[in-house]
Formats: sequence, structure tokens, C-alpha cells
Amino acid sequence: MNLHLVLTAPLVAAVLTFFLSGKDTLSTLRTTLVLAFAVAGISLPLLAAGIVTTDIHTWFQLPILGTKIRWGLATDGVSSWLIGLTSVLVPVAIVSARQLVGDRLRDFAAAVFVLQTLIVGALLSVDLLQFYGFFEAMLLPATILITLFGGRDRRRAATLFLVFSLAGSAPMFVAIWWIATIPASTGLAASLDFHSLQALLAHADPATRNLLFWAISLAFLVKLPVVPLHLWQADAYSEGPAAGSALLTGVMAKIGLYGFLRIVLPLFPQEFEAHANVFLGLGLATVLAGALLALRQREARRVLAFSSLSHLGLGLAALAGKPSPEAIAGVTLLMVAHGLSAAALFFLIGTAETWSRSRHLDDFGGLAKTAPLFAVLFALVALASVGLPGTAGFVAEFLLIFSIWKAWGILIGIVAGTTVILSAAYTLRMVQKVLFGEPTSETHVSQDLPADQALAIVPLVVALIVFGFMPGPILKAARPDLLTRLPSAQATVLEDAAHVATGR
Amino acid sequence: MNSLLWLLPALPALGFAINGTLSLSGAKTAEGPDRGLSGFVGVLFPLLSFILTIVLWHQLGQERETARLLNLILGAHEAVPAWSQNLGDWIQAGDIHIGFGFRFDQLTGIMLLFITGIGTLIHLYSVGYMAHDRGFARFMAYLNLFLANMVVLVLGNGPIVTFLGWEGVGLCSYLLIGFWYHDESNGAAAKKAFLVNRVGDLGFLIGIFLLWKIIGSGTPLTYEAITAWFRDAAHLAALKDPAVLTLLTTSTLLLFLGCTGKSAQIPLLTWLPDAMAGPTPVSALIHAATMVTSGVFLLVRMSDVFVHAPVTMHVIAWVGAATAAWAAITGFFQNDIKKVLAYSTVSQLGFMFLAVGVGSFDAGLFHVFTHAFFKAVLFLGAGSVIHALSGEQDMRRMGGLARKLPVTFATMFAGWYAIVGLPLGAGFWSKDLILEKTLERGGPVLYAIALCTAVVTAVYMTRMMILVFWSPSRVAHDVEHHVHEAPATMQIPLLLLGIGAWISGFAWAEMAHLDWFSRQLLDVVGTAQASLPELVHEGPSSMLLASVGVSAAVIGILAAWGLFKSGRFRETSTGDLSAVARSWTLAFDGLHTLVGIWPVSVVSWVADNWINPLLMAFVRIFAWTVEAIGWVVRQTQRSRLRVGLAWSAAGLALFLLLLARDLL
Repeated sequence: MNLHLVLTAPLVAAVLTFFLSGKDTLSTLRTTLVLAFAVAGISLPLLAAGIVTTDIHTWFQLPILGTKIRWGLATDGVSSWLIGLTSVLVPVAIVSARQLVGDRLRDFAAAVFVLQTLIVGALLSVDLLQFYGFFEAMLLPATILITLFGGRDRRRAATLFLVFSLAGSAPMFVAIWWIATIPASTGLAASLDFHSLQALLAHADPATRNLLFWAISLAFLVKLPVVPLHLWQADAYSEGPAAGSALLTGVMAKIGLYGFLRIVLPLFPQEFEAHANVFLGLGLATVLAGALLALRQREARRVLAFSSLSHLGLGLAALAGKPSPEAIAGVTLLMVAHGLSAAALFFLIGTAETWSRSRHLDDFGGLAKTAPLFAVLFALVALASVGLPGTAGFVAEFLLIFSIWKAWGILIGIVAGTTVILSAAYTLRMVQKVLFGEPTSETHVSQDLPADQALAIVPLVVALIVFGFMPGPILKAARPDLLTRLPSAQATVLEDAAHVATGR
Repeated sequence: MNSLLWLLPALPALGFAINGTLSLSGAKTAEGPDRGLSGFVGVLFPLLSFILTIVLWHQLGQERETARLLNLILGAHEAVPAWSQNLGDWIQAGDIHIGFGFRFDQLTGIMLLFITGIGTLIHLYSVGYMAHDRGFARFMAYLNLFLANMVVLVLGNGPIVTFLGWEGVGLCSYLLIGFWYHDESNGAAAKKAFLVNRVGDLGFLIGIFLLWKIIGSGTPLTYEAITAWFRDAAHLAALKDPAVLTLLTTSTLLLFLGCTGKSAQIPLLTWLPDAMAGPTPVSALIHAATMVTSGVFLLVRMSDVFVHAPVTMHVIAWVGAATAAWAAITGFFQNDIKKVLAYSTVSQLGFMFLAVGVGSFDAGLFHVFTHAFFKAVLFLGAGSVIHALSGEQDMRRMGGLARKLPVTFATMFAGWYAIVGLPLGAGFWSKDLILEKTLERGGPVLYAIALCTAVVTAVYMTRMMILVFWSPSRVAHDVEHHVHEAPATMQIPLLLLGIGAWISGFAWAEMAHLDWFSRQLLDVVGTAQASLPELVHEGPSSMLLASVGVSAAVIGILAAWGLFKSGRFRETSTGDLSAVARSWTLAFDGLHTLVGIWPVSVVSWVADNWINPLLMAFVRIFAWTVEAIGWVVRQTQRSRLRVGLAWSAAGLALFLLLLARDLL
């Protein structure tokens, strides 16, 4: 497996898309779909590949400090599944966007491919600065998606999104600089790859470590997001194009959880454990506040936004402290299951909005009658999202609630478990408003999901059900030693040995 | 035989797949998909599942007989066989090892016999009842899906597989209650059913976690392993530890909370009466005969666990008795024929839980069995009445139908005869058994409550029969000449179930020395029931108790006759429910609103209207601060000569000052 190919494939697709004339929507759709399938074809074999690492070499060296910045790509089960998820969602996004963005499909697809490249880059990174580069650059295509294809309030939404994200990740950048200066005082020849960082940070004094820990965590807390850092989310998801929001919640928000799994937990295990209460509190507050806010939203996509918040909060709560193997497996499955179901809901709602010409829940209704195919798919995905047994969401929720109960006891377990009730409450409320009742004057027009979009959504639904009964491959990917088995560990050592041998 | 188990749920699931496809593909046509085809498919697959159940049951019986004889001859204690099939791993992570598998033993067999048997009959009935509905194929698809999930529920080899079916039947219940989705009140009833059940389901899950903690993480989560654990003397000694006992009590109480949700007991019972918004075959199949009894099934399945938690057993008995009494009285107030039957179901389920709570698991399950027949026939009969009266459900606009609907009347009479407990009817055997066990093990107070409930049961059921069949006709004129008996597809199930309501009681007629039913369950609940404390004193003879039970029924019937057959009938049955009746009926709805809906609404209102804006205000203040600082700094950067010179001078002065300090 050539990981550089996996990384550059979506970039090449983006470049090729720029060269399309874009005048004929249908041919743009076809070409970009072929590109998206090609990218997926290159990425999906990763799922079976296990741990893969490229050579890791020194990218550049910071002047004066001498800290080495590495370049290398590595993946294990967790990264592979998220990359697989991304590559599956991208073609669906392109198909779903056709009706939303019309003749600007080329620009949309190009932005999506760029976003995909950066997400894949972040997921494959082995070096903190390398990761940060991809992580921060993601804001660019995401903001472009919102501002170019969004609704009336898109500027405000995009600004809010940018400001929150930048405010969240700026401390991380400072932290990276700070870490880079550590070797000067300790005399250790250092580099910023995760493996060396682990050793490096072990030498830092506790107060510094604590500060660094918070600075890095903040970025992920905003990305996730947790309450009270969630203010950007509902606006971004509801003002942006639905197909773009699907990618933001389906994949980009997952980088928040991934960051905790891959970076925060391995680098700062003591700090994370010491602040277990804080993260549990943040997680549960997010679960509850998200669910309660979702109950009161009047727009379908705002319901979905808060629902995303609530579901991912459960993942953070489960990780808090010293995460158990069940928690890590649960979080990994949650990322995939929620990525599939939340994205599918956004795709479907986006199409329904083009029928009702409104985002308000009250303007939907009776779609079960006028659009039966849409109704079946929407209901199935909604059920997967509330974690009905037989769908992947159930297994994920089961493991997460189990691990929270195991770590914190019955009362906290029940508090976490209320998500089972509340998620059913707000999701069924939405389902009923959208599908049931009498058709409104707008939805009365008899039109159903276009065949191409239905074909694109069905695989997501099938995957949700298959992983509901056979979650094994994903659960196994999240091996308990995930946290100690940082990517590049072996390769870095080899390279260092090679450097010594050649006398560099 | 083992390898065939998966077919039991797969057959109705296949029916669901076919009917679902038919429904979807025919959705855009004016007529909808072909009714003949989807009706045929819809009935065929449950029937196949029923036939397979009979074959498996028969084979299992033979194997068990062989094993019993071998044990007898060799003096061995070989385990009694049961069919089981492992389909592979399901959830494997850390300490959790949950496999996906099925197990068919005597308890599962009995449940499956009536689930698939009565299920098939109700599917057949639906073909007639729903014939004119546009969503016919969709209806058959949902019913098939329900049956598949119900089979998984009773066939699962462990609590988590059961939970798959448990939530699955809940989903189908949701879909079928809200089947006529164009009316939003149906949707609200469906949502209520789902949400109330989810409260119970959370209890189920956490209860299983706690149980898992007691039996140790090494033990697989299967009923076989759990039962074996609780039958091991060494483990039982550990339960003497108060900490472990508390854990067990909490665990069993939480599991019981799950049962109260699914089986509509106090406190989670409010959804069942609302669930009557669904088509009547749904009420018969799901909300009377099968799904709502899964709570009792679960308790019987885990009898070895519950029997060691005496506090929980007391709670179950009292909840059962209280629910039985409350719902019986509520049933008396109702004018909607389906609501009467709904509260009657809640009440009868209360009897079952009472039996389980006093430690008589087999008697509880026996009532599940007989109730499935007589309540199904009552509901289907009610459906036939509603069908004949073009959708009328209000008993105040019925009456005099005995002669016009003879088949319906005869079969409902069988159901009525069974439920009030007149001699030799099914309820006579099963309810009197419960009353007897209650007196023996639960004491006089519970017995008195149960006996009074039996009287009230006879009153409200007789009231229903009088209002529908035995009183002068009050049917609206334009409806009257449409009154007709149902088609054959509806009559055949009615007749078969009516016969079932008569004879099912003889499966365990103690006075007639028939105990087939209890012998079947011996391996499942025998150990649990034997571990209960021995009774010190013998109660009154069965004959005496049976006479008391029958007297209760007769008193109830006579009371109803006196109240409603005479001229006073009109005053009590015109106008809507009285205020007292209303507040009694809606007592638990009020409670739910108070402890559940209001707090959530208030907190979410506060979160929406205060917390979010407040956070936003912080952001604004922050933004303004930045802007203000920016403004101040900007003032210093004006390109004016004077300002620039002043700054330069100040800077130079500062520099010189520092230099001077360094030099000095």
C-alpha cells in the first residue's frame, strides 16, 4: 500500500476538477464521480491492510533550535476506517449536491476533494507539526464550502466557524513552538514526530505539560465540539450546503475525537487522567445539552447539528480518564457509525429542503406519502442514528454506555444512558414532522428521491446494518494497545539508526 | 435440527422483505400492489415458521423423553437437551464477549407455539380486515417484521440478543400504532409508546450491566451461563454478602423496569391505551397476545436470578397487584371498546406479574398462554364489530348485535367466558391458579386485592358484552343497514381462537389432574421455584378456592347485569367520562408529565433561551473588547506629523532613560 498515493489521489482529483469547464452539470457530475470512485478505489483497500507505514524522513530542521520536523505517513485500523469513511461519503456528497448547487458543481466538487485531501493528510500524519498543517488547512475548504454554497446567513456562519476554530487551534500552534524549544534546555536531540514527542514530553516539567495538554486539547474540543464551545456548529451546519455539512459532521468533526485518541491520550496520559472529571463533565454536558437543544430546534438541520453534538459528546465522556478497551472500541465504531448516519441524514434533508423550499420542520410533512423511497431511507437512517439494535449505532452506544458505567458507576451510567431516551425523543419528533402528517402545499408536489441519490445512500444504510451485526472488523481495528502503539514508532528508530550509521 | 433455528425468524423476515419491496414498488400506483400476492406472502411465511416450530417442538420432546429414560436407566444426571445454534461473534471488545446465537428450549417452544400460531391467524385476519386499506402491503410487511423480531426476542440465547428483538418489536409497535400516519395524533401515540419503552429499555441495559458484574466478566452473557451461575451453590453463598445482594436487587429492579415498559405496568403503563390508535389486528397481536407479555417471559427466563432477590420479588408482586386493580377499575370507566380491552390487558398482565412476584413463574406464564387466546379473540371480535359498524368504536352507539353478528358474538362470548373465570373456561384454570398461589405464597392482602380485581374484571367485561350485544340497539341509522358479518378470512381466525379460548386452559387443569404445561416448564423454573422458602401451613383446598373464584365472577356478572341491563343504563353511559373517571384514568399520564416531560421541557427551554444566548454574549463581549483595543491602538497609528513626532520623542526619551540607568 502506497500511502502517498492515498494522500495525493484526492489532490489530483481536485486539480483535475479545476480543469473541467463546469458548464455542463451532468458531465461535471459524471467526471467528478469517476474521480471520486477512483479515489475510493485507492483508499478502501487500506481497510484490509492493517498497519502501514511509509519511510519517515526529516522534512526540515528548525534553525537554531535544531528540532527536526518529520514527514511520513502511517495508518492503523482507526485511521484506515476514517479514511474509508471519507472516501465513501465524498461521492455521495457530490451526487447529493447536484440539486443544491446547480451549475457550480465543479467548484463544489473541487472544494470537497481538497477537504478530503487535508482530512486524509491529518489522519495519516506522524508528526505534530505535519498534523497541525493539515488540521488547520482544513478550515479553508470548509469555509469556502459554507461561504460559496451556503444560505442567506452564510457569511455570519462562516465567520463564526472560522473565529472559533482559529481561537481553538491557535494555542495548539503556540504549544508546538513551545515543545520545539524544549530540547534546547534538556539537551535531547528532538523531533516532533509522535513517537519522539512521547519521550520528549516525559522530560518536561508537570506544569509545562499541563499547559501544553490544555493548549492541544482545546483545538479538539472546539472541533468536536463540546458545550460551551459549540456556538459555531449549528449555524455552520444549517447555513452551509447540506451536502457540505454532511462532510463536516461526518468526517471533520470526527477529527476532534481522533485527536484525543491519537495525540492527547498517548502524549498526555497522566494529565488526561488527572482531569478525568473535567472531560467526563464536558462530555456529559455535551450529551445532555445537545439533546435538550435538539428537542427545541425548528429547523431540521439544526436538530441534526445538535444531535451530532450529543452523540459525539458520549464518545468524549467514555474516553475520560483511563479509557478502557471497550471505550476505545466504542469510540472507533461511533466515529464510523455516526459518520455514516449523520451524513446520510444531512444528504437526505438537503434534498427534502429543495422540495419544501424551506428549512423549517413545520414546512415539511407527509413525505411518507409523496416520497416513499425517501421516507424509507430517512426512517432507516434515523433509526440507525438513535441506536436501534441491529444497526452499528447500537453497538457503539452499548459499548460507550457500558464503559462509562464501568468506570464511573451506576448513577453516571444512567445519566449517560439518558441519551438513549432523549435521542429517540428528538429524532422521532423530526421524523414525524418530516414524514408524517398531511403533505404541505410545498411537499404536495409528487417527487421522490432521484435514482442516483437513492443509489448513493443505500450503501450507507447497508453498511450501518451490516456493522450492526458484524462490528468485528471495526472493533478489532481499535485494539487495546492502540494508545501505546503510535505510528512510526519502529520506522523512526530505524531511521535514527541509519543516521548514526551514515554519520549524519 | 440445531442448524434450522435461524429459519424461525428468517422466514417472517423474508416475508417482510418481499412485502416491503412490493409496497415500495407499488407506492406510486393508484391501486397499490397486488393484495392477493402480498396477503399470500404475508400469511405464508408466518405459517411456515409455525410449522417449523411444531416440528422442532416435537423433535425436542422426543429427544427429551429419550434423555429422561436414559437418565432413569443409567441413574445419570445428563443435562436435558435443548436446540441451540451459534451464529458467530457479535460484540467483542475488552471484557465484553457477546455472541449471536439462538436457543430453543421448552419455554421458548411454548412461547413460539402461540406467537407463530396466533400470529399466523392474526395475519390471516388482517387480510380481511385491512383489505380496503391503501397501505395493505406495508401493513403486512410491518406485521411480518414484528413477528421476526418477536421470534428473536424469545429465541435469543442471551439477554443482549433478546434485547435486539425487544427493541425490534418496540419499533414495529411504533410503526403500526402510527400506521395511519396522516393523522398526527396517531403519530403522537406511536412516539409515546416508543419513548416510554425506551425508559424501560435503559433500565434493561443497565440491569444487564450490573448482572454481568455479579456473575463476573469471564462468564459469557447467555441465559445458559447465567442460569448455571445462579444454580451453583458456591455462588449462592456469595449472594449472602449484603453488598452483592444490593447489587443483585438493583440489577433485578432495573430489569423489571424494562419489563414494566414493555408490559405496560406501573409506572410505565400509559402508552398501551394510547396504542389503540393502531389498526385492531395490531392491538390483538402486539398489544394483547404477544409483545406485551415479553416482560413476563423475561422474568420467567431469568427466574433463577430473580428468585434470589426477595425485595424485587415483593416489588413485582405488589406492582402486579396494584396494576391489575387500577387498570380493572379504569376499564370500567371506558366507552371505547378497544380502550376497555386495552385496560383489561394491562390488568391481566398485572395478574401475571403478581404470579411471578409470589414466586409462581409457571402459573404466570400459563396465564400468558391462555390470555393470548382469549384476549386475541376478544380484540379480533371487537375488530369485527368495528368493521361491521363502519369504524364505530364507541360502545354507546352499539347494542343488539348478538343476532346480527352471530359468529362474532359466539367467539367473543368464548373470550368473555374465559376472562371472567367461569368454570372450565381458560381463565378459570389460569386465573384461579394465580389466586391460589397468591394466597399460598403472597398472603391474604395480595389475595384480597386480586380477588376484588377479579370481581371488577367480571363487571367491566360483562358491561362491555351488554353494551355491545345484549342491549337494545343504539346503532346510527345510516350505519345500521350496513351491518354485516365479517368475511371468511376474519371468521376462521375468530373461530379457531375461540376454540383456543375454551380449550387452552386444559393444558394445566390441576383439578382435572392435567399438568402438561407445568411439566414442560419444570426444567426452566423448577430450580427457582424449589429454592423459595417452603410453606409452613397448607392453605384451603383448591376446590374451596376455585368456588371463591367462581363466586367472584358471578357476583361481578350479576352486578353488571343489575347496573346496565336495567333502565339505569342510559344515565351511566351517556356523556363523556366523568371528572373522577378522567382523573383516575389519566393519573399516570399526569405523573409522567410531572416527573418526565415538564422537567425536560423546562431545562431545554432554559438551555435554548438562556444558555446559548448567554454564551453568545460572552463571545460578543470578547469581540467588542478586541475591537476596543484595536480602536485604541489605531488611534496611535494616525499619520499625523504631530502625533508621530510626539511618539518619537517619547520613545527617544525612554531609550535614553534606560541607557542612562544602565550606565549609572
